[in-house]
Amino acid sequence: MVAATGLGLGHVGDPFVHLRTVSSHSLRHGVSTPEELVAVAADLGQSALALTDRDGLYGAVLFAQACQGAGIAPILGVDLGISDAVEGSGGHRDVQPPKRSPVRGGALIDEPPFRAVVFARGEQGWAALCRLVSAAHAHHRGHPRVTPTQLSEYAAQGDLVVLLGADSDVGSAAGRRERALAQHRLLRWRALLGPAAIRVELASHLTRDAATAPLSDSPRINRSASAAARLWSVAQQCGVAAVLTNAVRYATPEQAPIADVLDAVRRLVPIAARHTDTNNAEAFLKSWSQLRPVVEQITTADSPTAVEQLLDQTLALAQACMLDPITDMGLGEIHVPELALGGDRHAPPGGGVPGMLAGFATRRRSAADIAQEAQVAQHMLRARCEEALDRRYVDSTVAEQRLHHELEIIAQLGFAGYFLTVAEVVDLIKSMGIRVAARGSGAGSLVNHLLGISGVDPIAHNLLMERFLSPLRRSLPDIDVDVESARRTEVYERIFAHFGSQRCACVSMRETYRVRHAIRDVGSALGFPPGEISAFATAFPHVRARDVRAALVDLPELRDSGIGRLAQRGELSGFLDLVESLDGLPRHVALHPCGVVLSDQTLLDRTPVEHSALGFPMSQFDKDEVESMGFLKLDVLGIRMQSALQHAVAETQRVEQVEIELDEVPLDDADTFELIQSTRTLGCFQIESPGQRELIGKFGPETFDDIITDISLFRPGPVKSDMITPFLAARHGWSASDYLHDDLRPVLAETHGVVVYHEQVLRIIAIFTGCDHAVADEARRALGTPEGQQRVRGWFYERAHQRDYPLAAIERVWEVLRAFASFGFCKAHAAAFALPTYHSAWLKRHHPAAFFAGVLTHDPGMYPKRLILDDARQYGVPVLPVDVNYSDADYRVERCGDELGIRLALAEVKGITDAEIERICAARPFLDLPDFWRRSVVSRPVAENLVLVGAFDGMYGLRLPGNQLTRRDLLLHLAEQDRRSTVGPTSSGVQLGLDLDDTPQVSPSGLPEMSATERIHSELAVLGMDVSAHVIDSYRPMLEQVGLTWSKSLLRCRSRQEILVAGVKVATQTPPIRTGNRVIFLTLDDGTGPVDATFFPDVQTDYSHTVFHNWLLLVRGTVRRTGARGVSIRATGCWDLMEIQRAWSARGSQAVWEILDQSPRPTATAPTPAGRMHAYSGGFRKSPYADIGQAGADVANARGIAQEAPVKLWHSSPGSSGR
Amino acid sequence: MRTMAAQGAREVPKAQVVPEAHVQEEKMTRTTREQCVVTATPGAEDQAQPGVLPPGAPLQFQWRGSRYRVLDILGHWLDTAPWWWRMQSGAVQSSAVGPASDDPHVTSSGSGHGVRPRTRRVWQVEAVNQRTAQPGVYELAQDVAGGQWWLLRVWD
Repeated sequence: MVAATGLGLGHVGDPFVHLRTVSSHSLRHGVSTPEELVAVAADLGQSALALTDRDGLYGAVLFAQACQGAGIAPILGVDLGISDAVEGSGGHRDVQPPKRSPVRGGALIDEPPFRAVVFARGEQGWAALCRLVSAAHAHHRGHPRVTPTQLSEYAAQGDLVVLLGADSDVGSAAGRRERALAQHRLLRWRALLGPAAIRVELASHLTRDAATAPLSDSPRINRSASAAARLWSVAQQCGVAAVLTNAVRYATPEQAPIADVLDAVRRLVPIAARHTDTNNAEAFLKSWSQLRPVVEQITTADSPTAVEQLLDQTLALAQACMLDPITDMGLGEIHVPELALGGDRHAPPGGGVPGMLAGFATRRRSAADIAQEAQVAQHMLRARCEEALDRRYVDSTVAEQRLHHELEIIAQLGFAGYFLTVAEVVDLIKSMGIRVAARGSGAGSLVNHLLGISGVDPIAHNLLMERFLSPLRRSLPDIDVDVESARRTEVYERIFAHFGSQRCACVSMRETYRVRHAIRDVGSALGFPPGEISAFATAFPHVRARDVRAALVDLPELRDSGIGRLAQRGELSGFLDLVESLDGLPRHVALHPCGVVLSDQTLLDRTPVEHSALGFPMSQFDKDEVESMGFLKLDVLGIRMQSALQHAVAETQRVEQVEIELDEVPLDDADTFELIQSTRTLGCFQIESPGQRELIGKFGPETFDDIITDISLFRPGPVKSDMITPFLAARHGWSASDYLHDDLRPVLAETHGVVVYHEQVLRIIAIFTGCDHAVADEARRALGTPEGQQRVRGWFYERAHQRDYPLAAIERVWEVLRAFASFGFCKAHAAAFALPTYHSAWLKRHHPAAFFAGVLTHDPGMYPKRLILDDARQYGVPVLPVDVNYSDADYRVERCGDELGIRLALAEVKGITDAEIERICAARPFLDLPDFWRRSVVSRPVAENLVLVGAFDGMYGLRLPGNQLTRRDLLLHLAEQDRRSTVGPTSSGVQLGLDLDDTPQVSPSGLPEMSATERIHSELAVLGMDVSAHVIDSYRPMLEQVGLTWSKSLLRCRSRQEILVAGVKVATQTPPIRTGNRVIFLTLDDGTGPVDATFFPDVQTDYSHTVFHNWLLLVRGTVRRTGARGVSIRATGCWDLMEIQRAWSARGSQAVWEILDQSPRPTATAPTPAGRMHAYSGGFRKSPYADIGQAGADVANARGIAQEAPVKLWHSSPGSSGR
Repeated sequence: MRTMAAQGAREVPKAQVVPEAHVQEEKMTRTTREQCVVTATPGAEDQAQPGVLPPGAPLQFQWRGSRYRVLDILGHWLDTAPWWWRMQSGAVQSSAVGPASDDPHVTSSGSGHGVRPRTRRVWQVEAVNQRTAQPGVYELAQDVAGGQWWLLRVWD
């Protein structure tokens, strides 16, 4: 390939422009990113490039931006499936969506037989193209198609050009040598669209002519030179101009195998020549000198000027379709919704497609309109704020000045309409009675507070607006809104109803290949057995696909596995190359969990939308791209904790008739802080993780501000830059606070001299340089990169020197800024977090049963429900089993003597459906099992599961003295009933002959009752929780004999004492830590509380496999005291508890000691799996395996099989391998 | 004219079938993968004899002990050797997950060459067996990088 070298000037003189190029945004089709393609085209010296991705404009923004950067002109087209031959009368013939099938290679792969590329000309063309793509997606989700008639409607204004190539109906006929059919079809297209709006595409990949090839050898699309020549001849016959392309799928020829893999993955078949689109490596971005000989093969029989003529026609089309990213696409402009100044926001453009296209001009607002509207908005905003100011701040000049300052900046930026719109949304949510809280830097703005968007008082909490909105950045700021997770969909629906779908869309996000998906897809393409693929994939943590080799070397549990050895022998090298090459390719477009876009009525002229799985219209652009397009993006986050709090409040009201207004609860409740200090904070927002419990144990928060600090400190940045040690030393008075300079004392006093908040960084910079906070925030942002630091450093030293600060002080402050600035936390954000933290702790302290019911119902935290349930038991809250006469869909608080207990939810029962729950709740009370069976109409497995977990124990008084009935009798009865109802004479639906007496009653059969162990195993299998007793209880005799240390007595251990602990695995985490190594944090639950053990690299070689692949563990370790209530265990060994139990049963505790003694201990020389580090500008390093999705089956629900390793009984922050 | 029977081909005794037994019966054709010795027109790089035949086209070849003369070029194209064949046969061992038993033969050899498919120039020719005088259609492929010729397919 001709590569431009040197100064990036590019070649002058490659005249060609590629009009057909797909990027990786053509899912499972394109190989190269838009950026790569643009870079190669620019290097070749080509002046423009088209992006013609399949089914959408997903890559359009990135592409346009890359073109802007490279100085070439973007051309945008979409490659759409055509749902009907041109003869079609306009209706969608394929109204039935294809059937789904779970089997790879099933019949679900429904590729449209024909395709066409549609180009946009100018801004009207761009608008028509966006709307055409939306229309293509409107019919069946996931099967975008347009009809030729639809195409003609959208092209009627003359702003679209349709390109018909080898994969169109015309090209397909020409490829099969059906010349007459090809001509017929092209003439129909010509009649429908007019000759000016169609072009025939000639592309040759020098493949074999499929018309003469055996089926097994021919690729799917005939892009041979001879087929192109036939197509050209048809075009000439029909008077349609032809253009040249290379139907590009990858930037460079080396990427061709990836295209082969993607072809197989897309079609769900193993790779074979007949499943590829092009079985050679010619579909790359060629220079004209490479392409010309190819074109000459197409034109051999024609005049010598034919090549030039085709090139001219190609360039003419390119010229006509070049778009200006700013004026045509609207990139970088800002389009907020119109003010609601009367007028109907909902009126959709009338007159069908023609009316919609014709209305283009009237939808646009002129610059004068916009300016005038901004002025009106500014007046409205000022009036609203001033009115609120008088109410909330009586005679406060500070507040008045602050408001004046903020309004000035807003006016300068013209963002008043933006603030009014966000306020409108928040008012809307509040009017639905849903808890709503703004989070993020927006809390720093007084305007937000006065509009009711944020509940935090920025003046009282010392927050700054510039962190949020700055006159120096002309981009719309981010406001995030937290709502109850359970009602988030309702909120979306309301927003759409209010603003109308002409102005509203959700944001999409593109999920890309990571290592597991890449292994699965490459393995399937190569035809490996599914079981092997699955075992291979789940052995990996959720690292990037390109890190697959590194993971095989770095992680001991993989290095020493069979895969690791195959890889070391080089037997997997080709496979791993392919896995790596899929890295980062988009594989799925999904609804972004929180982004909502609001704009004016030109929204659909500027972005294509498709429907999400939930049915919301969703922009094809992701969250960054919608911002680049200038739409107002609002993040509406569903927070489970908000729902859990709401549930707890509602239960308290229902059972105790006590009304709690959480927002009115005073923030200085001593009992609540006592609970927090005790570190018994499982289930509480933000402070339940092992690391946080260790931190609050050392910290001992006493005030609400302490909680804000605690949350800010427990962030990757502060942890890694070791801000915690000096902070705790100063807080406990072990060392004097160091304020760096006396001028900084007021800024740093709240955190004992340690820089924790962004706001502090801004103020320090402002004090030392004399700049305002807006400039200071720019400097803070620049500190995030090494280059930025260099720039800021010179400026900072100079300005500080001018202000007569001594060099030593400047240097000290600079060092702190350099190290800490990019990792501090926005205080406004932390304050917003601290509120639910406090509320959850308050509820746990004062209304524990309601609190646990809320947490168990909405599952907001990191831990499995069985641990929360165990916490409830230890907290003295009675746990009531599932009972068909008492349990609801959700967890309920129930009076139980003098106490309040929690009743398990029916929804936890394995296999139960919402409809069954509904019927059970509607039909009760039930008299007995036959009554239940008849009236609840649940399936037999569900009924059996209910029996197994004791849902009928109460009804029958099972296990009460003198009662001979057992759960086994109930199961027998169910089996009998089921048999009767399937083979009985009444199955025809004639029920008249059946009366109650005919039904056999449950009677004792003499079968023994289930043992305690069997009951627990059933509970784990059906509910995923051990309800009647703790799982570890059956191991208790053995554990007592070997001298186990239980969680409750850990605090009595001395430092450096060697102990044994055991329990059910609750969580494994590999969080970022300061040295950058991977460290495994294991949390066990032994029935008396949690036990936290740490596995450092020196023991990972021998034990990480055991940690990740077992669920009942015995751990040997050394105690480390970390504070008055802080205990952690440094593990020196780890064993499968079930294996130990077997040894003990066979040969007593001597056998246990033998196993322990024979297992390796960490030595100083043990290899450490350090891996490569990501170096950050602040000077810390991060292991690539820290903070990532952990290996293992990813099943959200905690339902296990008691005998074998349960499916999922623990939380794994997904940093490592295992199931 | 010069022979394109590259060094590699000479090492294979004439008339010997290379036992890469991927033979598959189809309706009209038989797929083979056998090396053969070919005499061809000069390649494009020589710039000689423009016009008459495309550069690099086969003129005659030896296969299974017979000599064939090319009568006509029916078509030519580029494809890549099916690089996935080797990988599809060597699946991952099912015992690959979990700690492996100690295997004394394990040696570390670093990462391999990866997937680098070889592009072949394929010629579909009509040729006549010079001994039997029986004409037939044959597909000959030349490895673009290595120069080695293969007989890919015979149409009876």
